[in-house]
Amino acid sequence: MGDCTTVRPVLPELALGALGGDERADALRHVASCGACARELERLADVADGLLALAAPAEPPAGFESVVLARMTGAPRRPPRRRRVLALAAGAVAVALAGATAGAAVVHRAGGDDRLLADQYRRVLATADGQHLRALALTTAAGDPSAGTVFLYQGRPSWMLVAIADAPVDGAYRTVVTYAGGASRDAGFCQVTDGTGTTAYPLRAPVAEVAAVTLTAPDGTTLHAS
Amino acid sequence: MVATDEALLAGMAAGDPLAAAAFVRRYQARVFGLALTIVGVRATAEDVAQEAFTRAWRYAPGYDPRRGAVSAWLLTIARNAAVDVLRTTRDQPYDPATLVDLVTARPPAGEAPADAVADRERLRTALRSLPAEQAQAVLLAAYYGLTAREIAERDGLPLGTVKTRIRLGLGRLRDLMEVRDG
Repeated sequence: MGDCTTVRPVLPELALGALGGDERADALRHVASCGACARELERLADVADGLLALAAPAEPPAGFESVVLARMTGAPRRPPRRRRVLALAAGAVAVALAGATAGAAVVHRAGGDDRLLADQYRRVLATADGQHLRALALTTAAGDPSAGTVFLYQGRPSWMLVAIADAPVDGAYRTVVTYAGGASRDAGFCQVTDGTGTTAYPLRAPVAEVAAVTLTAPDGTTLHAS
Repeated sequence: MVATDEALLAGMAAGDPLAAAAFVRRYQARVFGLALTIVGVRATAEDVAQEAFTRAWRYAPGYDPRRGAVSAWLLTIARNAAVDVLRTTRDQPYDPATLVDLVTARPPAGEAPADAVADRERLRTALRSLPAEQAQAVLLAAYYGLTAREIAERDGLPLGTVKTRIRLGLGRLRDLMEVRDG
């Protein structure tokens, strides 16, 4: 495995996706165990990502969308069944969210939207034998209740979806669930970019026992739902 | 307010065709534009863009927001799909100087958010400020997926020279972007 001296000089190539073979494997192994090199790689990768965004947009030929959708939905994708159920439920809520928070949400065409949403909601509950869906407003420390919403789904499995619509600061928010008995559990991170972020987590206790959900940004900014 | 990229991707991960359609509409011009910049031929770019969206659909359940924005994730998928084609054809449609010109040219005003446009313009300005050989080496790696060794062989240069150009070039871009962020 390489050390900082040998890996630092190749981090730009790694960030650009242009490092191959053993060099790449060595660099990745080192980065996985070296915080300083990992941070340097992240900074370089941000620039590398930005370079790809410089390509001028161009409209594809007519009919592209229908062809690509036929290809996409015909493509095989078979994650394990348990993950599929969780993903289905989370995705349906994401779509419902979009419809609920945006009158003209892009995921819906005009006409039949409400019926579609209602049908998807019913299917979510039916698919995973769900009992109910609970929503809590996320409030900033200043008392603004429009920072986002926490959805809690009681089913098999139960899960929580954190949807942040307008956070005061960006970053990876640590998410902690507090239960009625006072115990709390770390539920991972929710990445917020430009004030928004969405992340789902499995819920390991009944929804009724969830007393509060608190998200804390790296700078200490908190969002709270209870 | 419209659905976030993450919400659409969650819908795609769930197999929701409506979310997929919205996602394709949102990104098709950028994905096709990137593919066209890399492969240079509209028909091939269309194949690449289709492949990119198909991969995005397939990989959507594994998307991790901690590792970058949806747009960066998707454009990297598109770039990799385009590079796969280039490696088959063993061709790079544009010489390095033309590639730099293409990437640093100011595009017509679009509908992208103003801050995203400003970031891109800053990066273009930073790219233009680099010595030409550094900008070219960085873009050959970023767009064509060429390793330093491949660039060295292609241009008849010592491997160390190309590695230094990439290292200095990308490092300088990072410094320029971060200085102005501060």
